[in-house]
Amino acid sequence: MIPGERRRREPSRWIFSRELKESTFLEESQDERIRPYIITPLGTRVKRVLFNGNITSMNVEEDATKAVISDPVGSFYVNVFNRDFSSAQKIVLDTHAVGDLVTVVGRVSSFRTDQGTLYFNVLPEYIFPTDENARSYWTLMAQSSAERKLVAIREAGKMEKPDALSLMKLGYTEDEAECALRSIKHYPGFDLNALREAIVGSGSSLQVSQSLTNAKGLILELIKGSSDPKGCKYDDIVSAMEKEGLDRGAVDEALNLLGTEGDIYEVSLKRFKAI
Amino acid sequence: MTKIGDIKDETKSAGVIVKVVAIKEKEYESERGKGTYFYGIIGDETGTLPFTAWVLPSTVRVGDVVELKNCSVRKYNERLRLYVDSRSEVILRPEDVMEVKRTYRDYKVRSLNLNDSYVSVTGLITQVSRSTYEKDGIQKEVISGQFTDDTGTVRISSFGPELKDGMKVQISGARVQEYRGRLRLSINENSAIAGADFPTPEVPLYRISEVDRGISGIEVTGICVAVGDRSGLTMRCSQCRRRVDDGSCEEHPDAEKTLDLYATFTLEDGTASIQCNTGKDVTSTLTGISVDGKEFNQVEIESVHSGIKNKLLGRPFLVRGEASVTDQGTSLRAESIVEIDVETLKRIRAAMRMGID
Repeated sequence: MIPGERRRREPSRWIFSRELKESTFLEESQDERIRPYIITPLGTRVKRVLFNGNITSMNVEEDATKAVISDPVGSFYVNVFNRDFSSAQKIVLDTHAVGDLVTVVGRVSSFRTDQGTLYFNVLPEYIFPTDENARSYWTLMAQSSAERKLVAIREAGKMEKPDALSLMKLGYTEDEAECALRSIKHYPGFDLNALREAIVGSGSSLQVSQSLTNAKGLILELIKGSSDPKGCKYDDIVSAMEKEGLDRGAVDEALNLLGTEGDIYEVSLKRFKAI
Repeated sequence: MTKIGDIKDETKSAGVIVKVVAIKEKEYESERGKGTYFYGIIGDETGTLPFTAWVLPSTVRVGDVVELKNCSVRKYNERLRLYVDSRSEVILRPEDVMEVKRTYRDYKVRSLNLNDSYVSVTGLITQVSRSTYEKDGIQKEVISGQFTDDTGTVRISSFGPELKDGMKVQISGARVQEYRGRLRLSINENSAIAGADFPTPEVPLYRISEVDRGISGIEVTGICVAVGDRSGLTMRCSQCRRRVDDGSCEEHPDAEKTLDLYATFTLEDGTASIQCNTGKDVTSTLTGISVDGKEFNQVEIESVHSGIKNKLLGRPFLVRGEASVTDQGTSLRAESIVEIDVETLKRIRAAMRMGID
């Protein structure tokens, strides 16, 4: 760092677990004490990530807690140790349970096996409880960022001698242009199609998740507004929701979720009341 | 001799007779030592062109007509520029009088910059107010307001032409200036204003990495990843608004201290991070904490800080405000902040789709 220059916090990268998992290149620093950057197949230069997802597995021990947190296309592996600055985050993570939705900011640590395979885990700096809107927002932004990089890589691939300025003239940011160049340099011949399909899929799962959130709200409102003392009829809910563009399957899923979350209960067969 | 209007491409040998419209000098340091160069705008009856002169007679002033021989024309920042160097010849023509046809490049608010300081812009005028100032013993009026297009808003000051709320205008010859990291426009009797027709601009949604200049009327989204330690309740000098937590104000020791509520936090959206700050009203709306007419003990002061952290950390927000860019980085003074909901997500999705084929 230049004397007098303010140390700036390195912003986190919002990438899907799949992009990280498929990384095979590390950009080592000349200073061995400095953790290397991970260069992903999309050219993203990663040291810190921010992601959210459901905790799908947790192993709590006195010295460390290990958790698996799933995003729409895979899983991040999170390790937090009971030492130094990490102990506060261990306490936070230990208050959570499998199924909880969390946002994690953390540094990525890599380990290369003797066979050369790279494994990654995240050392959390912050863990926050989160909700569906935050999850949808993160997925949307991570998906948008990945899609733009994929298109930039495609455009760079069309150029005889790709350079950042030419890509920026096409409307990509400096960072996106540099990602495209790194992808071409470090992952020549890498088949990005599977990654592309997984990322596009994350968008549809996001939309399903959003329409489910909308359906839950509408159905709960309908049940609360019902004046039938025996409870709101299932058939009435289905026909009302069809007018909103929701099919029977979506209504069933939303009713199941509302029941699981304790917002409604089934008074008698196919009749519902709000709690 | 070539007319400015006929210069359409780069050339190594250009000769022009032009009037110096604007000129500034700047010092530089190279391997060969320190030096001074000049830059500005030259023009003739067919148009104007920016120029850089590595050597120029010290007698050349704004308004002079000069003949420039053996100059080169090259592109700089995507725009043609005439360069005067050691092989060029500069001849003053004191007897000549020349009318200059001013030409200005069209800019959107988000592209305004100090490298092109006279521009043409199209936008909506709002929040007009009038004030007076004294120059050479004479009271003069300045009309101030906001100038908005579909990419953002900047402050505008008129030292001549009338500005009214709701005017949709195209302004030629507006001057771009910067004050405390924020861009602004100023116009005078030399600027031309014409009516324009365009849809009323909506507030644009930016990715944080796109916020690179001091403009207002913009929105960003992001997850709050850090809250400043000093967020919360603070005492300020009632005169200069400086923080005076540890005693009285050094400049205004007799001034009253007033209680203020303030938050500073870092927002990230995956493209970059930005430092945001909220004043009393916005922080109060966000947290539900009111300070007016109240007194707080130390425990309550600490609980206000925790309350702000709990409300912000890890949550996604839509923030509208005014960006400023200084040596310390880019920051956003928030005019409003709301947590992202389903409707906001729809808007973000639409905005993110733009530009991806």
